[in-house]
Amino acid sequence: MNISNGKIGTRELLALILLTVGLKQTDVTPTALFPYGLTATWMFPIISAILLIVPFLLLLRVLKRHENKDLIQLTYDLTGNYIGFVISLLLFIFIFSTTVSYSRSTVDTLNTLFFPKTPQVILYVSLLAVGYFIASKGLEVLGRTSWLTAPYLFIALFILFVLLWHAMEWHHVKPFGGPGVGELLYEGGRHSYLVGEFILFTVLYPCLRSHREFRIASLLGIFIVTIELTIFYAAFLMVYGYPSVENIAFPFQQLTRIVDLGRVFSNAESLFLGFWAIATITRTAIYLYITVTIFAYMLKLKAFAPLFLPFTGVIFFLGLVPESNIENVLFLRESLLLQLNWLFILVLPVLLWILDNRRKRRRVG
Amino acid sequence: METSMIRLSQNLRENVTTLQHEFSFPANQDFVVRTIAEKSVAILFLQGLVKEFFIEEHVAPLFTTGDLNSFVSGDSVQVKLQGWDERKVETVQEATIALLQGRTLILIDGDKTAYSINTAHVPHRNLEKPEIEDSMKGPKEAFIESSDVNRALIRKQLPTKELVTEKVSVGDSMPTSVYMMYIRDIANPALVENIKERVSDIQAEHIQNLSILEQYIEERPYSLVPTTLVTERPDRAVSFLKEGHVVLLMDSSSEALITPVTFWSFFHTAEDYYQRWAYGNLMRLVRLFAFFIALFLPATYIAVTNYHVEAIPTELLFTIAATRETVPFPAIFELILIELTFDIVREAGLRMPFKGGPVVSLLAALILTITSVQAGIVSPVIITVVGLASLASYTIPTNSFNFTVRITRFGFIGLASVLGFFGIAIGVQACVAYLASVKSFGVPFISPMAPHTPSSKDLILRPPVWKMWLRPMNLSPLKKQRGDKVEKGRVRR
Repeated sequence: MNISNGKIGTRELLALILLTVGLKQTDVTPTALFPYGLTATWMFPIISAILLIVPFLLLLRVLKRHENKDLIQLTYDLTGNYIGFVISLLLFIFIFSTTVSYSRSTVDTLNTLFFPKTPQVILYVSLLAVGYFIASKGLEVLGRTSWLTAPYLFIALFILFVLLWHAMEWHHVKPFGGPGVGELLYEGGRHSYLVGEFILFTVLYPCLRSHREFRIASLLGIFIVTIELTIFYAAFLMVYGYPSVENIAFPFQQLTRIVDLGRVFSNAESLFLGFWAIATITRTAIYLYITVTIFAYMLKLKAFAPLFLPFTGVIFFLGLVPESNIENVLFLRESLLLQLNWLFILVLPVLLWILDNRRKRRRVG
Repeated sequence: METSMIRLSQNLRENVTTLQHEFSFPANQDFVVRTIAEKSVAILFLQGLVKEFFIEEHVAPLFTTGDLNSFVSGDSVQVKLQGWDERKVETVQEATIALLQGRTLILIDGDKTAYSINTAHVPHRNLEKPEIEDSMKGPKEAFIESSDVNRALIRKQLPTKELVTEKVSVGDSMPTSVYMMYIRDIANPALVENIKERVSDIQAEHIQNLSILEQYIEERPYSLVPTTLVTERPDRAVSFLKEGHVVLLMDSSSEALITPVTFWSFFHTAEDYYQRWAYGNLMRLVRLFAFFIALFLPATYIAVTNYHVEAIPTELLFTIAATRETVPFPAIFELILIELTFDIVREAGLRMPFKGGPVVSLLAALILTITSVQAGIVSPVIITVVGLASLASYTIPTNSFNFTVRITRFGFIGLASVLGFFGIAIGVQACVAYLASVKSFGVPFISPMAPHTPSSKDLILRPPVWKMWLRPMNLSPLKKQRGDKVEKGRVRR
C-alpha cells in the first residue's frame, strides 16, 4: 500500500544531479574555469568525469558492502572518530561554502541583469525563503519537485542550443590543446569539484530504494551531465570566442540574450529567465538540504528538521559578505574550493576503499 | 440515549403513549397513529415518509378481516407481513429509528414485540441531465438526491458481484447513512479501511450531505488544494471504481464523492474518454493551455510590463503605452480592479434569480468594460488579459479546482508585481513542492508521475483506450491489469 515511505528512486536522484551539477554552465563556474582551460575548457567536464569514474565506482563498491550507511557514517566507521570528524568537517565546509557561493551568485545574476532596482537583500531573502520551504519538506518532496522540474529545464536548454546555432563559430574551439595536454590534465584534475557533488550525494545512499537505483541514477547522471556541460562550455567558446569569453561575467545569461526569435520577438531572455529561475530555486533547496544533512550526520544528530531555518539564516548572512560577484568568484573558487577539494573527490573514495579492504582482510585472516 | 434500554411493554396503550411522547404528539402532526381491529392493533408511521395508500389498501385490511384471535400469537403476524421486509422491534429506540426511516410500526395488544415493515417512500426528483459535467458524447444521466437511485445507477453500469456497498453511520445525535462503494477484488483493503475509519471517526451532531462530509474527512482543511473529487456523473464514478477508488454516496446529495484522488483527475472529464483518441486529447490540450492562461496570464502581463519590457514586441509596446497614457493608475491597481469586477459579475450571475440573471450579468459585463475604458479608468489591454484569464478558468472541469486556480492567480499577480518573472518562478516552485507533499488518503497527489509508479500514462494526454490495460499502481490495486495486455491489435484473434 505504502508507495511513499520516505525513500527516493532513480528518477528523483537523477533529477537532483541534473539540477545541481547539470546547472554548472549557468552560474559562475565557467567564468572561473576559462582562465585555466583557455580554448580547451570544454574538455574539463570530460576530464573530470573520467577522473571521477574510478574513485566513484570504488566508493559504490564500499557502500554496497555496508548496507544502509551513508558517506559520513562510512568515514567514521573506517577512519575512526577523530579523523572521521575532520574529514566530515572538511566535506561540510566544502558543501557549505558551495551553497553560500552559488546562492550568492544566483542573486548577483538576478540583480545585475534582470532586477537592477530591486535591493539585493530582497532577492536573497526570497530565494532562500522558497529554498527553505522546499528543503524543509524533506527529501521525498525535494526529489519529486526536482523530477517535475528537470525535464522542462532540459527541453529549454535544448531549445536554447538549437536557437544559438546561427551564432556559433566552429573555429573558435581551436587550438584543441588549449594550454597544452599536460597542463590541461593537471588543471582538469584540480578542478574536479565540477563533479564533486557525485561524491557528496552518496550521503543520500540509505535514502535510495536500492543499490541498483543509486548506481543507475549516478552513472546516467555523470553521462548526461558530462555531455551537457561539454556542449555548453564549447558553445560559450564558439559564440564569444577566446579570449573575450574570459571577460564575460554571466556567460549563460548573455547567451539567452543572443537568441533571436525573429523580428517580432527579438528578446527571449525573460522566457529563459523563467526556466532558469525555476531550476535555480530548486537547486538552492537541494544544496541547502545536502548541507544540513551532512552537518547533521557529522554531529550524528537524529532529527535535522529544526536545523533548516538556522542554516538558511547563516547562509543568508555569509552570502551578503562578498562585496561583489567578482569577489565571490575569486575568493571561494581560488582559495578554498579549488585548492583542497580534488583531494576529497578523487582521494577520499580510494582511501575508504583501501581501508575497507584491509579491514576485511584482517577479519578474514 | 436514555431511551435505548426501555423495552416495549405488553400494554398497547402504554406503548403508544410512550412513542407519542417521544415524537412530541400532539404538537407534531406528522406522527400518525391508526388504531384498528377493536383497538387491539395500532399502526404507526410518519406522514410524508411512507406510502400511505399502501398502508390503507394492503396493511390495514390484514388486521380488519378474519379471526381476531389469530393475532394473539406473534408468529402468525410475522407470517402475514412476510415480503415487506418485516422486522421485529423490541425497544423504544428501535421503534423510533424504524419510524424515522419511513417504516411502518405495527403494535399488537398483549405482545411485547412490535413489527416494522418497509413502506418508505421518500420524495426525490426524476433523473436529469448533468448540469455541471454535461458532455456531447456519452451517457447523460446524472445522480439525484436519493442514494438508492444513485447506487442503482452505478450498479446498472457495473454488473459484477464484487461491487460492495458498505453502510457507515455518521452523526452522533442525528445519524445519517454514508454508503461506501468499492470493487472488492480491485480496491486495496488498507485503503478501504482507512476511508471507513475516517468516515466513522467523524465527531459531529449531524452530517447533512456529502458536501459537508467532504469537509469533515479531508486532511488539510485550510489548504487550497482539494483532496476529494465530487462528480455528478455515474459513469465517471464507475470508471473511478474500476481503478480501485472508493465512492461515497449519501441521501440528499446529487453527487458522488471520490476518494482518494490525484491531481490529474481534476483535469480529466468523462468526455475525454468517449471522444476518439485525437479528439479527446485535443480537448485536454486546450484545457491545459487554458489552465496556464487562467493561472499565469495576468501575472505575466504585470511581470512583462513592469520588469521585462524588452520581451514585448516593439509595436505592441507602443500600443500598450498609448492606451495606458490616459489611465492614471499603476498597472497592478488596474489589474486587481478588473479582476474584482469580473469576480463580482460572476458571483452576481450565480446569485441572481434564473429569470434574467444571465442576461443582466452579460449586459453588466459588456457595459462595465466598455464604459470603464471610455472613462479612462482602465486600459483595454487589461480587459483583454483579465477577460481571457477569466474565461479560461471556466475550462477547468472541476468546481473546486476552479476556485484553487482563481485564488492562486492572485498570489501569482502579487509575486509578479514584486519580483517579475523571478517572482512567478518562486510561486511555481513553491506550488510544485507543495503539491508534491500533499497526499489524498495516503496517495501522493501528483502520483503516478512523482513518485513514479507504473500506470497507463493517462495523465496530461491519454493513450488509446485499448492501450490502457494497466491500472494506476499508486492506489496499489489488488488486480494490476485490466484483463490481458493487448500487444498489437485491439481484438483477440
